Amino acid sequence: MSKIIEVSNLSKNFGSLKALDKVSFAIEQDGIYGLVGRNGAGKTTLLEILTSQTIASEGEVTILGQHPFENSYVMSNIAFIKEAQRYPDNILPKVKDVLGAAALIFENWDQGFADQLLADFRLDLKRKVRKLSKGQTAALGVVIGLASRAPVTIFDEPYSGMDPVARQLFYDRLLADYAENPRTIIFSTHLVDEAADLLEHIIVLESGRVILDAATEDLRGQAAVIEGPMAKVMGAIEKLEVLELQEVGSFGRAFVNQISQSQSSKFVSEGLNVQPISLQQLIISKTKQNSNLEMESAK
Amino acid sequence: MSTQVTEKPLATRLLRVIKMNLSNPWPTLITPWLILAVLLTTAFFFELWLTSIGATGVFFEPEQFLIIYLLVIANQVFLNQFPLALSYGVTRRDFYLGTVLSLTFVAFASTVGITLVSILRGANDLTDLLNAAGANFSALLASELLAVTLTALYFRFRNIGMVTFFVTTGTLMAGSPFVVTYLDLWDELERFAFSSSWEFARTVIGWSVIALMLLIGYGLIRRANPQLR
Repeated sequence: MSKIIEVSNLSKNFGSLKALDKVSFAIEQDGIYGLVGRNGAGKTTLLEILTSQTIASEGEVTILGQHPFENSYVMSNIAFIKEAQRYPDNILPKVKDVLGAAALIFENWDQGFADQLLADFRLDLKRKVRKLSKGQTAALGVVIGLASRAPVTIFDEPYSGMDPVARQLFYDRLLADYAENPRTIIFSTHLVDEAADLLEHIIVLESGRVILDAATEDLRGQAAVIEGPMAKVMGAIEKLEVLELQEVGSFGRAFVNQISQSQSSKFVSEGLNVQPISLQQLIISKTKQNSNLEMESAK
Repeated sequence: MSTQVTEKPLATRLLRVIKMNLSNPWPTLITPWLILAVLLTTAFFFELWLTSIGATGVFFEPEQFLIIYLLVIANQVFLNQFPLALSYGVTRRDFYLGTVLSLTFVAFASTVGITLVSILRGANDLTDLLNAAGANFSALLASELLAVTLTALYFRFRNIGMVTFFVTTGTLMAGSPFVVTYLDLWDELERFAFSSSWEFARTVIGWSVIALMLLIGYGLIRRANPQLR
């Protein structure tokens, strides 16, 4: 596979605040990427730079081998659906007007698919955009993003306000359509476990830096939680990478990374409880570990 | 991979922006003329009454209403469509040029409408009609471009830009009479305003201001952030 997006030493400053700090990564053509991070980690800023909404302070972005800023070739290959996307309800008052505008601009627009998605999400073409609920507005963004079939489709928290049923519908439709029309899809999310089956690759941002950039498959089963008497837990984790350690009285719980099957079996035989942890927990632990390291280096 | 999109010619890209802006003709082309129809009907009966009591005069000029209406609608089009267009992968340059062309079309259509109203009201001198149409077109376009430039200023510099603009404009407007008085230029200005060269100068100044606003608007939007937070 070839790289469709390359980001190198990207920084963005807002006054004294470093929203992005020397971010580098590459995205392969045709894949579903998850951009994960806490609020204020820099996800939206990164996506805005990728889509030329914002200009970077330093560093470089190339998409399809070219700089995207004011590049009509690159931009015509991108669809960007933002969290709480606003629609110009005085100029394009109805759902059908917003979709009509999208159909005019997106080269690969699939009206049949858009109609099917509208029915799935129970969106009425004649309904006024300003009358849509938050979840329905998010669903409209999802319809536009998916039906655009843009070679690079970017969703920033696409399902803000959507109920669990609608979110599952989004995952199902995205996956089914992706299987038939592979493309590069990036979406930022907080709901890692929910979207885990969908994501082929995860990039985690924390305080404007990439702290994890790995294939989802490689991350699965990589980390575990070891529970038991504190003394035994401390002994077990001596030679492991500890992401997070919790102590409740004499009971200990350690989140560890890169644990092998033989190590796991050994700890179980010693009376400890060893369980694989979810992607979400791994990311939480990684983020906490990063925050602790930052605090220590600041001291 | 989904079929990669090849770059379309500039004309195609601009036409798409124009269609996007005018895909719903109600706010730009239909609603103002529905309002105008009511205002003109009222004006017609008022002017009939004026005539019946021996007075004459034109009670209402449609261009006065349209200059304000199109200023507001140009602001609404630019303010609301810019973020959406960029999300849809339109570049700032294409959006700007496409929107200016959309608004030029609206100004032209409105000028045709105003001219037809003038004919219905009895104007029949072709030269007068054409002169009036030229003046109306440039006034409507200038009004729309003022809105575009100010909206571009807002996207580029947000509230600081707006405050700076209005403070500067206010200072210039309040200060210019003092400068004219200080330099003792009132008599010369009066002579110029009533001279034959004024009509020509007004046209040149008008179109120069339009060209300047076009350039400033583009300069501002080139690096503007479309997010409305």
